[in-house]
Amino acid sequence: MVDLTAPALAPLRRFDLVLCGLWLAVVAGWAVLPGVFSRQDPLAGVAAERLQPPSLRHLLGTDHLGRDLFARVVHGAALSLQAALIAVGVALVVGSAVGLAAGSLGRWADALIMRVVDVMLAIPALLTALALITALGFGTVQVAVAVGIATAATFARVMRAEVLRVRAAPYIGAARCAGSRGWWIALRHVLPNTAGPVLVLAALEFGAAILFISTLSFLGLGAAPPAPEWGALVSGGRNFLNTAWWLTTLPSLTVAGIVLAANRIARELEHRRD
Amino acid sequence: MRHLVPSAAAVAFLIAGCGAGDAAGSSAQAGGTLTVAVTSDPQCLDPQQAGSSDAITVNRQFVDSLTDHDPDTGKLGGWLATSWEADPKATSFTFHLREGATFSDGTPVDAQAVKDNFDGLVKLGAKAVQAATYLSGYRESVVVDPRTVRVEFAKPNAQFLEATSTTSLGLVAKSSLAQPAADRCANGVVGSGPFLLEQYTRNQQVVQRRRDGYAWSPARITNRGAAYLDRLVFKIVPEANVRVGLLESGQADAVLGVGPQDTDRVKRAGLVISARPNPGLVYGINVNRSRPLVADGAVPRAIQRAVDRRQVVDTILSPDYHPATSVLSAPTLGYVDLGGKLSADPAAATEILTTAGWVPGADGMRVRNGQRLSLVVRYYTPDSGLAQSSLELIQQQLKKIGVDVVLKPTPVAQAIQTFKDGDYDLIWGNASAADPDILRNYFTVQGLNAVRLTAGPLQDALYAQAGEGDPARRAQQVALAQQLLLDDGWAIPVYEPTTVVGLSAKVRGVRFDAASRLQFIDVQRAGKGGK
Repeated sequence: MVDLTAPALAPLRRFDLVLCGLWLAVVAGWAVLPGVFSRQDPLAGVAAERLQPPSLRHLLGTDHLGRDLFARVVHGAALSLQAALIAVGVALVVGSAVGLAAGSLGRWADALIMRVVDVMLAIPALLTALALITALGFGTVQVAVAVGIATAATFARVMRAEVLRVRAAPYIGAARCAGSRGWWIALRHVLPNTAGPVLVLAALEFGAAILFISTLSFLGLGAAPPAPEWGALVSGGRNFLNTAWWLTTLPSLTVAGIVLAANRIARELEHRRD
Repeated sequence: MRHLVPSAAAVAFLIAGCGAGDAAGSSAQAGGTLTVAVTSDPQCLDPQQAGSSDAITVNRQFVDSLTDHDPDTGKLGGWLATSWEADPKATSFTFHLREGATFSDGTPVDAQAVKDNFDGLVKLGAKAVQAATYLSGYRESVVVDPRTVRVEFAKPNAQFLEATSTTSLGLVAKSSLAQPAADRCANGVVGSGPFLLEQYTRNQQVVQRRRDGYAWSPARITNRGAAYLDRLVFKIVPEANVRVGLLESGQADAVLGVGPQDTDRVKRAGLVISARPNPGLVYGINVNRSRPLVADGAVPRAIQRAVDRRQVVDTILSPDYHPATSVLSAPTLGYVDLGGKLSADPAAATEILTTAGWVPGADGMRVRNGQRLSLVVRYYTPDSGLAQSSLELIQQQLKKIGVDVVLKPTPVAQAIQTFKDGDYDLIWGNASAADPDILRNYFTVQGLNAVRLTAGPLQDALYAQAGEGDPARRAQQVALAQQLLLDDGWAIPVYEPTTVVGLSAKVRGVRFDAASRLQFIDVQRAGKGGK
């Protein structure tokens, strides 16, 4: 095994970090300005050009309706990234609020809240998300909210641990002596000092959220067709695995690449903090 | 009749066993195991309750029916009944049963058994969803003598005779009728068919064993005795790729649901594709005319002309499929060819919309009185991919005439509720049935009420055919109904549902019944039998 933390490998580490950053910047570009990256229509196909393998004209080939797969991947970025951001946002806000409440209230409230969180953690997040979607209905935003709520428990636990750590600090005691109320201390003194680890966790969860959302859209719970969500692209190509490998393989590799890059950057943030 | 010719040819081909299979060894022999990969778990091993297409294929082998519908001639022949009479009003049917047929527990298939079955089916009610429609208006069965039974209806039931050939009205023994419905589903039933249930592992496989001593196959079946095979194994393989892979690698001898994308590949591998259009309501878009945008019929009529069925078949399906030429598919009783009304003509479609006051809006979609022409189409999931692909292509075709279509995938478990709520402008679907009465069951308030059909000549025709005992007069009503469904824009048929089966070249004698389900009694394997 090569020890990637060895000082001699530092430039290499820096290099792959830059590569990951660039790659994510490009993907963010897809989301914001898809027209710049692909001039072809992601929805309207040319039946005569169906199921063509990757070529210069169609970078990732075409699907069974003759739609350019690259255009669909590029235009799908907005949907999938937006959903991931919403999911992480919901998880961050809900999880942090619950964790903050548990850590600050203490005693029986803490015990009660954390047992609920334990239950949430014990159920696989995908299962919770599926159950929530059944109640919320299909669609990108619904999927995002469901994933957010399903992963909020992780945030709650990290947040609570941080709150307990910070609350033991002398300046909290000082604030209490100065006559500040509990909720004021929690919001003004505890919350800002716990933000670091929670934000790093958010970065880490971003990659996982993309994977989650792609999974759910793979199962057909995301945006209605013909919207080009990444998971739906992978799923739509399944029937053609024997005959048109690119339909499933290339969108899958795109998602894998994005998740790996997001994780790489999140790990780096984690190391920096430590 | 166009489609019957190739299907008859396919069957002849299989019987003759020419081609690669014959060269491999003409010593087709009894015994052995045939492995069939099916697309989904049958869920229920009671033929009377089974619903899905694959479930019916699995269950078909357990039971026999009173009559047999010959898929090639379209005629009704004898099976457990050797002859029958119906009164002209279609309210009373007398069946004369054959001698010697028994259920696998040894009890005879006699008039009392027939009566018990029909009484039991009525008691099952909604659990036997197909049978319930076949038996609507059932009053009683009268045992005239041990070999003669008379089935009576309170109101005319013209499709009953045809329905007696279906798997859903297959006969089971008294011991099974005594079981609760759920137990019958889980443990199977005692039937008189050529195969018996040996083992069922949910979501994995159904193993069936030959019934020795079976000797009452319908006349069109070559094999007069027991099945040749020792065993029949239905493996449940949901992924289309994997099914084809099993066939190619020799791990399966037959696969159901070969996707259009895989047929060329299967043929290139020296395997046989056998296809037959399913009788019944074709795949298409049906229009909920209680919704404001489509209520006046102009938009549906425009869509009728704008949908390019040939392009759907050429792009998404394979040459085994045919564009629809009516709301009924070609092998259905009473089908009339209305293909002339269904050619694509976007200019005519545009004309209809413009005349009706729909003008192009800001985003290219048409508007009328400030209302944008955007229609919700529901389709049921899980889907083999064909419904979604067809609708995505039709969405593009309709965009060209300024009609926006929004796809709403809907879980099939909610189908009944969806029809009840009617929360859609358009609904995608089909229904298998050999008899045209499916039109009444699908379109009218007496059945699913999918399109909120209102009183008028169409409803009259659909009701009239159900009670018409005279075949010629009934055919007239059915033809009128098909014509009105298209002309008034209630139904926009797209393509004919087709059963596409992949077969190993070693297998011969696989037959389609009239409902395009497979029958295995004639099946033999070339070369060494067993596995």
